[in-house]
Amino acid sequence: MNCNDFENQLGDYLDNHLSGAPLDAFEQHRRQCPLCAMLLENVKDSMVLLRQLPEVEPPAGLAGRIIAATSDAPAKPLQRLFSFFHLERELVPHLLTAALVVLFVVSAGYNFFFRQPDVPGASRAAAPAWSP
Amino acid sequence: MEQGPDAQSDLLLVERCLQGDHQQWEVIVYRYQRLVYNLAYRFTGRFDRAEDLTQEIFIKIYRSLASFEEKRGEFKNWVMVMARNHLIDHIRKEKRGWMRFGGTDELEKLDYKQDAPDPAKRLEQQERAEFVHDCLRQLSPDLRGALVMREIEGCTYEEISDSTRVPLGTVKSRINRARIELARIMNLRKMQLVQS
Repeated sequence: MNCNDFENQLGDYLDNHLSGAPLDAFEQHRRQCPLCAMLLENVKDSMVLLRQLPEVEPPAGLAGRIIAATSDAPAKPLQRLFSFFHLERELVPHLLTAALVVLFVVSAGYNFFFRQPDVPGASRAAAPAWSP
Repeated sequence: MEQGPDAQSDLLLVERCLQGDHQQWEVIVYRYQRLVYNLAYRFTGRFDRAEDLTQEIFIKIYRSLASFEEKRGEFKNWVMVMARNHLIDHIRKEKRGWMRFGGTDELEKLDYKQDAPDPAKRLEQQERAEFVHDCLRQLSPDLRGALVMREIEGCTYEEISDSTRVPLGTVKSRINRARIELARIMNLRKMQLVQS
């Protein structure tokens, strides 16, 4: 076993998933390599520190802000629709604005490309001649 | 499955809340804000983000209350799954920024729950916690998330793989790498502290 193998198997060792020949090889390398032995001790120490982390106090007023942000009734059908499409309620005005812009562009494009221009005089020509 | 008194009362709270009793929702918020906030803080390593994320998680929980099913397990577990999933999504987004800007070395003074009665011990406890959080923040978001789930939350590799939708082998190697990196970061920091 080399140092690379030792690092790769370190997790299995810490989780007690090593046994038999792989465990013997791991232990042997630990005894022979002071750097790997130190790494193992450092990892063990850091995991102890990590597990001992005390709880963090939530900031004062957090619960109040959550309650204020959820003052409407839970799980309205429209909200469920939003969440189904992964939409946030705050996005709705933006989506409506975008829809209006698209509508405007499409109607302007239609007017520009497809609508027949009004020919001045065309209707007058078709109108019956005035006779006294 | 036998449920504790909290689980039973949670169920009542949810039912009443869905019937429109907003006060019951407030009880839920006060009961679980610490749990969710702490998880968010461990995942992000940032006080301000933990606060925003806790708020987002509770809004999501509130909007999804009707989808909670008692037969699938306790309400507390459901809350934690919702929180974890939201945080994993956040980590995915954060990862892009983290890779672009390369980690963070912001230091934060936090308000820890103080267990020790002796002020000197309290200070030592606080300094140690700040040191650990500071080192944890240096890990990339996906390594940090996997390590928090394994070492602090006590999730199994399979649970982490399911939650993160990452193959089991990748989860194992990520956690192994995270443990080694964290140990090296801590060692380096200790040496820097001794030198300074």
